[in-house]
This record gives sequence, C-alpha cells and structure tokens, in this order.
Amino acid sequence: MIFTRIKRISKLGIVNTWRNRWLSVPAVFIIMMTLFMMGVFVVLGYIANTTSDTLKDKITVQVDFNDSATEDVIQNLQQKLSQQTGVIATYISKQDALADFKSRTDIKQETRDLITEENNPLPRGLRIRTLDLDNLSAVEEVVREKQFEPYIYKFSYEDNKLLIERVNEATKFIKKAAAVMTTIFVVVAIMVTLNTIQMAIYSRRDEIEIMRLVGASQSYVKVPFYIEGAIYGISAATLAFLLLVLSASYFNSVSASYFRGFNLDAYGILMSHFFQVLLLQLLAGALLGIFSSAISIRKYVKI
Amino acid sequence: MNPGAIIQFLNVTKNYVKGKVTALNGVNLAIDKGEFIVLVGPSGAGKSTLIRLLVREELPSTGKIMVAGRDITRIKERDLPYYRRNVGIVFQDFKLLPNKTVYENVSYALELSDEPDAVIKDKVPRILRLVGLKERANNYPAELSGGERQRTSIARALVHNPKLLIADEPTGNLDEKNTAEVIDLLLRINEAGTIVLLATHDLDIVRSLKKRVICLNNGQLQLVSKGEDKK
Ligand SMILES: Nc1ncnc2c1ncn2[C@@H]1O[C@H](COP(=O)(O)OP(=O)(O)OP(=O)(O)O)[C@@H](O)[C@H]1O
Ligand SMILES: [Mg+2]
Repeated sequence: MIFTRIKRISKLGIVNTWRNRWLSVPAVFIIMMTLFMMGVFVVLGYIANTTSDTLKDKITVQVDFNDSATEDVIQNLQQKLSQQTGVIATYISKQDALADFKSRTDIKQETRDLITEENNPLPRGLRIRTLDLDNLSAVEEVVREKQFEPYIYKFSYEDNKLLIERVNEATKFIKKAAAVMTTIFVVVAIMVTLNTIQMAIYSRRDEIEIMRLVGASQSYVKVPFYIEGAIYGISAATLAFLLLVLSASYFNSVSASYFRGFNLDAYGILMSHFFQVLLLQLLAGALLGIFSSAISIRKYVKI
Repeated sequence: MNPGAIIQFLNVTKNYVKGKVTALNGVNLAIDKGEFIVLVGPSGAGKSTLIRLLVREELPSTGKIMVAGRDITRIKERDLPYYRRNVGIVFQDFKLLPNKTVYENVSYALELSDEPDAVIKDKVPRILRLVGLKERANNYPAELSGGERQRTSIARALVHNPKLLIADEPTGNLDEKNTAEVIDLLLRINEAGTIVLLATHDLDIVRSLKKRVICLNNGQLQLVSKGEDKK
C-alpha cells in the first residue's frame, strides 16, 4: 500500500510539474542564480583562504648586513631571533646570495653576468621566516636593537606585510559580501518560488476541491506540491553547477592559474571538490524549493 | 430527539462573519436510516450551508452535528478524509476533471484513498454499469450530455460505498429528460440502502417524489410533508 501511495503521489508531482514547466521558468532561474552565486563564493572563499595561508608561509623578512659586520654580530642576531617562538632565521652567505641572484629569471642575463664570484657586492644576510603574522613585531624589536644598528644595511618586510593585510581584508570582505548577497538572493528566490507554487495551487484549485470532497488522504493533496518545489530546486541546482563548472573553466582560460605562486586554479579547485559542491547545491536547492512550497501549502491548501 | 437517527443536527447555528449573515438559525433535524429527504427553500435560505456543514467543509457557530453516533464538528483534520469517504456529494456544476475520461474521473477518487489497482479495476466498471455509463467510459466530460456528466459525478460519489449521498441541486443544469434520469438513479441508490439528501428548487420533482420534504426559510427549518411512505 505504501508503494502504491508513493508511486501515485510521485506521478502526480511529476506530471503537474511538467504541466507547469513554463510557469516555473522564473523560479528555476532565480534559484539557479542563487546557487551559482553561493558556488562562486565557496570557490572564492577557498582561494582567499589558501592564498592567505600561502602568504603566511611567505612572510620572509630579510636583513642585509654591511660588510663591516663581523660573523659574531650576525650569529648573535641569528640566535636571538631563533629564540623567539615561530621564527626561523637562516644565514645567507655571499655565495648563497650569489646563487639566488643567478637563479632569478626576472633579471636579464647580461645583468646577472655582471656579478661574479670574484666581484660579488651582494651582502650577507639573514632570511627570517615567521609562522604567524603576529611574530613579526617581535622580530622587528630584536632587529632594531641598538647594538645591531651600525651593521644593518637594509631591513625589509613592509611589502609582504601590506600584501597580507590586503588579502586578509579581501577575505573579510568576500565573507561579508557573500553573507549579504546570499541572504538577499535566498529571500528573493523564496519569494519567487513561493509565488510560483501559489500559482500552481491556484491553477489546480478545482482538482484540490474534488480531492477533498472524495476524501483524498492529505498526502495526495499536499505532497505533490512539495515534489514540485523540490524539482524546481534540483533542476536549478543542476543548472547552477553546470554554469559554475563552465565559468570556472572560462576563468582559468583567461587568467594564469598561478599568480606569484598563489593557487588561482578555480577549475581545479572545483573539480577536486566536485561532489561536495554538487551535493551542497542540490541540497540547498531542494530545501529552498520545499521550504517555499511548505509556506504556500500552509497558506492556500485547505483540508 | 430521535434515538434511532443516523444524522442529527442539534440546535445548529451558522453565522458567516463576513457580511454578518446568519445562514442557519437553531436548526434541529434528524435523518433516519435509509431515508430519502428533500430539502427545499428560497435562494439564500441556507441549503448549501447545511450541506457544507454536513461534509465538514465548514464548522457550525454553535450546536452539534451527530453522524452515526459521533459529533463530526470534533473530527480532527487528519481524520477528515476518512469521514468524507462515508459521505458522497454531487453538485449542480458536476465538478468533473475535464482532462480525465469518465473512467478516470471515477477511478481517481479511489486512487486518492490508496485502493490497490486490482480493486479499482474491478470496482469502477461495476459502478459505471450501475449509473448506465459503461459505454461512455472512455469519453471526456466535454463529450457527454449534462445528464451523463451528472451520472459520472454520482458514480464518483459512490466509489466508497457512502452511507449518505448528498445532492445539491443536481438537476439545476439539466433538461426534463436528463433530470428524470438523474432522479431515477438517486431513487435506485436510495433503494439499495443509502440515505439520500436532495436539495432542489424544482417543485415538480418535490411533488413527484412523495418523500419527506423539509424547508429552510431564513435559516430556519420547517417540516413540509412527511412523505407517502410514512403516512
Ligand atoms: N462563505 C460565505 N461567506 C459569507 N456568507 C455566506 C457564505 N456562504 C453563504 N453565505 C450566505 O449565507 C446565506 C445562505 O447561503 P446558502 O448558499 O446556504 O443558500 P442556499 O439556500 O444554498 O441558496 P441557493 O438556493 O441560491 O443555492 C446567504 O445569505 C449567503 O449569502
Ligand atoms: Mg445553494
């Protein structure tokens, strides 16, 4: 009996949805846009997170020494820095600096050839990595101590710090924008879907009246509208996912996947989270549709 | 009142808030097993209201309506469908689904109450034969005469073997010949043991039937005649 019921109710839901297919276009479209946007934010959020992680890995501060600095002074500073938590200081000898310089592809070959082992003006230095942005101030304090001042030729970290702050700000902004936009879109999508289901109920009001008069079980009257809402949501989710994949692959084709070592491979990110994103969208779509139906049914279907 | 009655209206009043109308005013009515009862009264007297209360489309403002020993005003929403299967109802405008055939209009009512396909296949042809529409099973309502449409709607009202069949002006849209067919069918259904409540304007029908007639006037009930069977 339960199978007969499931079969008949599903058939009612599917047939009615098919009859209303043109009526449902706006609802499906707006749910699709909502889910697409949610998908874009998920991918963007992922990129922002990994970028800021990568950047944190890349917080390197460079201290370059005058030639007057003795090895003792350098070692002293290195030790003091290494005592700080989350700070790693690596010594760069003149040879290391030269090797680094020779491997830089962003400098012309002729320029690179100017500097040789015999004629090496490159300074010795300490390359300092911090695991967290917060450790930077401690590093700065140590480096700025009076005793080292005469020996330090250059202390540079500002560029990266600014960049990191910018990325953090961008991440925060993306999250805020995502919350606001998603809320607006979800509300609009619910309103449009609600309206569509309401029209579907209206167009079937005679049949609903007959169903009540002949003593139809409640589920025969109501569940088909839930199914209709769910079908809208699921079709919209499928379309939204396709659109997301297409957009990601287009994005990849017009932008370099790796920008200064940061992973911007939207398509790759999407593919590596294929089922999570698809499932998320299907679920969100179905919930959106069913929720809208529930409101309309409560309001307009009398038993 | 009447302990043997199957249906009892006990001091039933119905006020419509909208328009501040008192559609029924202190109605007392008892209907016995197997009765055929004719409900008459001028337009707006409250006939359809009485019927809507009996199928629990509306709740009375005050009073009780007992059906088979149970106060139907207290039925819970989820049990309503089961109550309604005991009460068949037909209307002046037939209320058939235009995109379903005669057969489908009738079988649909059974599908909606979880009847297995085998039962439906067995039952629908029998009911269609009873109302004389076996040959028209695959026609759509638009292809039928008014009388045939009304007989289709009667067939649909009978699928659950109701103890009560209510007809609200069933012949209002029919010519003389079709009216006679439908009334004849209602009489046969009544003879088989179903209570029939017929609301009508048609005084010719009232005269020819010789059944108990009750008259609503301004929401109040008056007995007009007891009917020949009872004399
Ligand atoms: N849903 C409603 N809201 C407000 N007033 C209503 C409603 N239904 C009926 N009425 C009023 O109640 C009174 C009785 O109406 P009802 O339909 O029961 O009359 P009736 O005897 O069936 O008339 P007719 O012979 O024309 O069908 C009328 O005055 C009508 O306007
Ligand atoms: Mg009426």
